[in-house]
Amino acid sequence: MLDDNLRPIPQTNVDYTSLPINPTPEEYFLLSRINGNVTVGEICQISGLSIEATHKALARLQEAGLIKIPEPEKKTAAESGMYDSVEGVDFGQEEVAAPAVEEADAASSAPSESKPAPEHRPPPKVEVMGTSMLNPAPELDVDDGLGPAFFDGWPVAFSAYSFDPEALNESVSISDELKRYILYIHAHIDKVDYYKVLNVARDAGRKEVRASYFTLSKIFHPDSFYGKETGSYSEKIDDIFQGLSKAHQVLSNKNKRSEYDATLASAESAPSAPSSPGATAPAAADVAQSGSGSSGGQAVDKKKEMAFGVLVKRGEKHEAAGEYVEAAAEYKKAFAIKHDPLVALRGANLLMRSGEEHIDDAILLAKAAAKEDPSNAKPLILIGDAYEEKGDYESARDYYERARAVEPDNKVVGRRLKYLETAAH
Amino acid sequence: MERIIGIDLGTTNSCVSVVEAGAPKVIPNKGGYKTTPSIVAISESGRRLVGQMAKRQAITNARHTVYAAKRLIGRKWGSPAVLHCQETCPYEIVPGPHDDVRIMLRGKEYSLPEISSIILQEMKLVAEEYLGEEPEKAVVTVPAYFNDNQRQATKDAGRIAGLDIVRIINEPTAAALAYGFGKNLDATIAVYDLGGGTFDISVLEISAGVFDVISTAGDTFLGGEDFDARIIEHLAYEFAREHRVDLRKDEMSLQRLKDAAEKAKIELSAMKETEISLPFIYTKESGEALHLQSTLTREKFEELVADLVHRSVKICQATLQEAGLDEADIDDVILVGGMTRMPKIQAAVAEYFGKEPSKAVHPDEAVAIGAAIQGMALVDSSQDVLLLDVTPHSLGLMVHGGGFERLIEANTTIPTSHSHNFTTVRDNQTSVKIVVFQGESDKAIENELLGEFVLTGLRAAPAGAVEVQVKFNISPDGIVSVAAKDLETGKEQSITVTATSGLTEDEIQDMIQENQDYLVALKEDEEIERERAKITKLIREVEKLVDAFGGRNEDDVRDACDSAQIVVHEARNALSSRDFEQVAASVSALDRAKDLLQSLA
Repeated sequence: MLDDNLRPIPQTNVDYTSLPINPTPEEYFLLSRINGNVTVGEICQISGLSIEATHKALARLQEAGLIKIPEPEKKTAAESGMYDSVEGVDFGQEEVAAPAVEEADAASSAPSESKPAPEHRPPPKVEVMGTSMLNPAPELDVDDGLGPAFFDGWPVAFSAYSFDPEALNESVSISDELKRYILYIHAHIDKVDYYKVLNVARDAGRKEVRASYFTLSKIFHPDSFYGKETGSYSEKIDDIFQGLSKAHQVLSNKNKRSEYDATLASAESAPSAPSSPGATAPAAADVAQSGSGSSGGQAVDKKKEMAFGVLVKRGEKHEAAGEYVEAAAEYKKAFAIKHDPLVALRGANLLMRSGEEHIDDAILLAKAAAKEDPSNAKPLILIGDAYEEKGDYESARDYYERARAVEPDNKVVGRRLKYLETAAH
Repeated sequence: MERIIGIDLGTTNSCVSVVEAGAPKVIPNKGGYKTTPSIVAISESGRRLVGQMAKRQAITNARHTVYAAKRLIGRKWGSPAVLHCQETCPYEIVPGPHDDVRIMLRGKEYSLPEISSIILQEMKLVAEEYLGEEPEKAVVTVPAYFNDNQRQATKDAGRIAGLDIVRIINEPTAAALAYGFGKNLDATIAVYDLGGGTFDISVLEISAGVFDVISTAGDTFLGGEDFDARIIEHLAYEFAREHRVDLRKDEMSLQRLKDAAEKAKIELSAMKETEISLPFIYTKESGEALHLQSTLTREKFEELVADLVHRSVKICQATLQEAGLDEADIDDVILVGGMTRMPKIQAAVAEYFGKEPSKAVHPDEAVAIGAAIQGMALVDSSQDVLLLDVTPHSLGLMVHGGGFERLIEANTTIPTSHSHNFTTVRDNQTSVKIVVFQGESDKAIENELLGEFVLTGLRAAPAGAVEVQVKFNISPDGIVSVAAKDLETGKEQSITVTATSGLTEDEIQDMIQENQDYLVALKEDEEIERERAKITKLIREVEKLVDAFGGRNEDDVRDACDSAQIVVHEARNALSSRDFEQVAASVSALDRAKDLLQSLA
């Protein structure tokens, strides 16, 4: 028996035409999940095979020269950056970010021939599988759609997510791995920023954003499931596609994107932000600065103050004209220059009144306000309201609780909490 | 794999296409034409006439011939578009039971979906004759700027025709599919679609087989019909100045003018001037016949329609702005719709976009081809084609004071949805009324009313305690649906649609039944018709034989001739009979008489 903590490493440059033994489809499936980072124990959990069968399969894969199982004494690195990967044929490049994988020769890596038709369980095509597995391209290929890097920085690692067994067992014409993708993305898409939704870098250009959106749309657009039995997945698919198009709508529009970047930056500087891995915060701040132009940046305090005043005035003008979204945008920019919680709250309030598509932005802005002035219950209540509006009652309750901690006698908070309690039975 | 046909249900012409072995093909009708006039008529005998047949008899049967029905579909009684049609159309437009519009033909009211269903059925038949099997499913196109009521009415038309419309797509988007299908494009394109009745402009990004509409706009009352109307007006005005007679008041004159105007318009695309000659266009009470003789130059025509052309360019500007693009960002401009053959329009488009428009697609066929491609893409997952279209209008609610609160903005990618929570405002309130509109005005009533939805059966509770979440959905067809759920109990809440111009389910069922009955009767009629044709032929043959016996006086010959004449006499009576048995009996009697005579000859 193999040690559960071992991390098998996929091998590069294997000649698939002359393997010593021919692996079974199950074994190839297992191979697709091996990225140098998952442990034998985890592989056993996700293989869908018995532990014994999984170990046997791993042994055969090693015998075939497709993987290498390291010696037991070798201790592994940090848990972070661990993700599960699904069949390489469809999504490929799982091992891109895997530290244990040898740097592959990019030039020799042929592009995957497979089309992104994830609802079909791919046949065990040796060449395709090999290409995908063993020649990881340094960059995520658009054609491959989802890769492990996709979930980099998502709140819960894909492999650590506990899938609803009932949903996984539902008899629908969606492949197992796509089911997992749908369930995982659906559960988290509202909790990550638009860049993560589309799996693009913060500085990605319009074309990159579009390419990623198109690729993902091909997988998750309801039309891709036309005529197929999708059961309870159908609503989730709709939601995911809407999440994708919402993210694209913002990131492909210069103005909306710079506004979004500004709110993202201010929210991420707040510790309460749910999905702000420290590493990405500085990057966001940079974007925000370039987004709000020369009005902020390294200017002297006086200049900052002036710019702040101008932006607030502009916001007020929009507000008076009933153009709440535009007004909020100005307040956001103003806040990016000077962290005045009142201006952020003002913007958040306006966004709350501007329809559902602005709720997320309202939350981000209100969080920034709450961070600046933790003694004020108003931003917290607003966040609670916003989550309630979104149907995320758990988060709503959290924020109402926090508001109650600040202002125990607040009647609105009391009423909302009571309501949520009854709603939750 | 099942085949889904694509139908371009146009204002003036319709077209059907299917993808065969990966290649889209436009299916010609019986007459060999690739497009069929979208004209429906009811003959004196109650027969439905469609297409070329209906067009041919339009002049003599103007009152019962419906053209451009698409301009009325999904419209409300009393709306400007309907008033306009009432003024200019020779057929009788009457109000329907839901504030909708009906057309009175031979004493029977037809809803617009019924009229459209007759055209759809004809297109289905065209496809059936080509495919050798009845197509059950279709993708049907509508103008991009069609609102929910118009789309819903189009879907209803499909149901009445017995055709499952699996998807409604926008015409310019369909044209873009026809343009980009099979090419590995990475481009931003604009589709300028000026058809018989509507104008659309859409801006799309095409890449990796994805056709993403960025923005769309249009005018559902700007098209070739309006260009014709300008010529009609011009001719009628000239005529009135000379003869003090308004030709438009006379149905037949108007129909002749309309025909001549369309013909002149088409000719002026190729020629600098055209002769319009309508002899005996009007007869005065005195019995004096009047003739219309006129010359129309291209220049004059362009002057008559300058504002229409300008209007379309204005809409292009607004669309590009909405898309956040400059004219220079557009890699290619595609022209669709018969009207784009007009040189002035091509010039205006070229001038605005700063480049010659592409002629890569056929202006009359591209839309149907695109529809067929979408149909194939739905069922054939090996096809790497995905359409991402948008909703052309903002969707929202009427709020206090008559304001319009937008829930889903125009140009949002569909399918999409939006949830909105409603709370009761009175104690023990058991129902909530939601009034839904579509449009861009900040005043609710200036927008198109989609419906009033009443949430009923709410729990009796203190004010504010009941919270209902209403989910507004826009389907990939661009059709709006509403669902509600009590947030506390999680129970689905029933919604009643109380104000909508659409047909009720009962009405649709009745219309489906009526259509079926008509088709059955039609089939019987056709069978009788065939027998009657046989009778006519046999009578001629029998009479010839009798004549040939002219001088002969043998008994058997004389008997045979006598009885043959009796048979012929009866057969003549049978010709006007609607009883199939009687008609068929006459055919066999004639056959026997003919055999007998031949044996004696």
